[in-house]
Amino acid sequence: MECVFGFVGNGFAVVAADTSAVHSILVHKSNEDKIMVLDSHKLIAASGESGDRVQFTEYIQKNVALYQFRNGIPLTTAAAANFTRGELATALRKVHPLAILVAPSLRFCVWFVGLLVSGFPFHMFLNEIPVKFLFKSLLIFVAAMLDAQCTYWSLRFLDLANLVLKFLIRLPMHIFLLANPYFVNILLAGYDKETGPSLYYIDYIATLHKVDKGAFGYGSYFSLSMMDRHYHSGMTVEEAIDLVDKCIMEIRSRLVVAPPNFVIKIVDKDGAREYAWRESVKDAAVASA
Amino acid sequence: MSRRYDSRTTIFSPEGRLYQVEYAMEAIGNAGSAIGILSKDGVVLVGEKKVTSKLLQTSTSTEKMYKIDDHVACAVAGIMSDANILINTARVQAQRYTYAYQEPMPVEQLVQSLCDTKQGYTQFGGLRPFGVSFLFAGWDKNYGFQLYMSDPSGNYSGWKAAAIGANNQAAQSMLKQDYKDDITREEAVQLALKVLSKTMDSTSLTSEKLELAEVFLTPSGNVKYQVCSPDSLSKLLVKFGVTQPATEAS
Repeated sequence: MECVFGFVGNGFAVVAADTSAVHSILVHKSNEDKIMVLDSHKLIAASGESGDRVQFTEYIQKNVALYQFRNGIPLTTAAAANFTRGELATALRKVHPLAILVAPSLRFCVWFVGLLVSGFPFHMFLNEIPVKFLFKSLLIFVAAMLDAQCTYWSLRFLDLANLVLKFLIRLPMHIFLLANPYFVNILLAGYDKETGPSLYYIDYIATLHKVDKGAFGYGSYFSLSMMDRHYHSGMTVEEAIDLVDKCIMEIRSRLVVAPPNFVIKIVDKDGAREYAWRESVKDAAVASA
Repeated sequence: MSRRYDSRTTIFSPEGRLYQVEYAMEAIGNAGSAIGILSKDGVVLVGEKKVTSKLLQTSTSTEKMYKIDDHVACAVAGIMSDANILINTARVQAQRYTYAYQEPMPVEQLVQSLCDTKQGYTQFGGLRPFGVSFLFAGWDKNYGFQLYMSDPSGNYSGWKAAAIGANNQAAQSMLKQDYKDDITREEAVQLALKVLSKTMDSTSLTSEKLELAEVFLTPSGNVKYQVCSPDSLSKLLVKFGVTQPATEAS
């Protein structure tokens, strides 16, 4: 499973990521580059839902480029990190305007179907239905019941308090049920003239931390431990790559679902670039048609 | 013949002119003037106050100088009620930028965003343009100290020394003659006061008719916007020989 980690050295920052494109138990690809060169001096390493990952990192990349075209100066790494965080935070609570209209009818359908099939042996199909879906359905059901009760009482007695209550129930439920965040966790590494190298930890619920070392995914359990043990400030590139290799070694030897291949990228005063690959499996060459 | 094109801001006259925009610039020619000078260690803004009734009680100490953000300030010439709207949008823009990027907004970007608003009012239906010119003084980490001038058409440009408002052409040509590169902030204040004293209509320059503000870096490296108090302004006027001490005493 996913492993993304990185840290700051003396005059540079390094990030490494696994290169497996996985769905369920299947590996579709083992040379998927998950570290994007954001601009000349920034790297963005992302883990998470692969569609979201590509969509979101490209969105950030294009916005950073647009800023540079408009203003003639590049964003600093700190500014880019805060912008990224802001976009994630917006997406986290954003509800599509039409969703407000759709939701009541949707909820009614689920409630109605629920009533029809209440005798249905759901447990037989439990493995096929995602838990998240079941959980949401349950919440929708509860909300619909409350909603229906309020509607009934407010109509019966022309009771304004109940009507208000109904909307009070509806609003947070909508936001909770229909918000659609990007599921991406990000390590943003960059180099600025004034501040030197820096690394930012940004997760999908819009947490932002400036860190010396950071990691995401199952690999983080091992890479964080290795970095805790062997990281020190002012590392040289050789020491840093050695530590990256140690992390990869640990992941490969301790993680059941260890990915075979990794890519390592570096950003320093000369810019952001790919440094090396660590491959134990090569994709078979595709015979040309 | 071109009367037909007077009343619309959004329509060119046959000679290719936008009369309403030109009239707006004309209106600023009657307003109290302001001068800005860029020096190596700061930016100086000096303004002429037009309304000086003894009965007038203003709520703010300055009537022409406004702080936009911690690192940007501006001097205004023109219709104050229009200016208040634009100053508000500028402040909102500056805070929006800080909210998005957690960094102060680069000065030119701030000026540009304000000028985009001004431009909009010269093009989109049935409105009149803003009758305001601005001098923006600011500092940012990319380009250091900067001075910008903007007019009602939505044009802006960077200057070493600039004047807006009444007699701005006379002031501008004096500045052109007397400005030297690598001028210090104190020399800039002196030059600005000298130029203003010569271009102003009134005979004697007093601290009631003037405003002086400076943007500079503190020794700790923070940007500071400072408005000169009337007392110290009077002292400066005497020190630079712009007014006689006797007139001040009387």
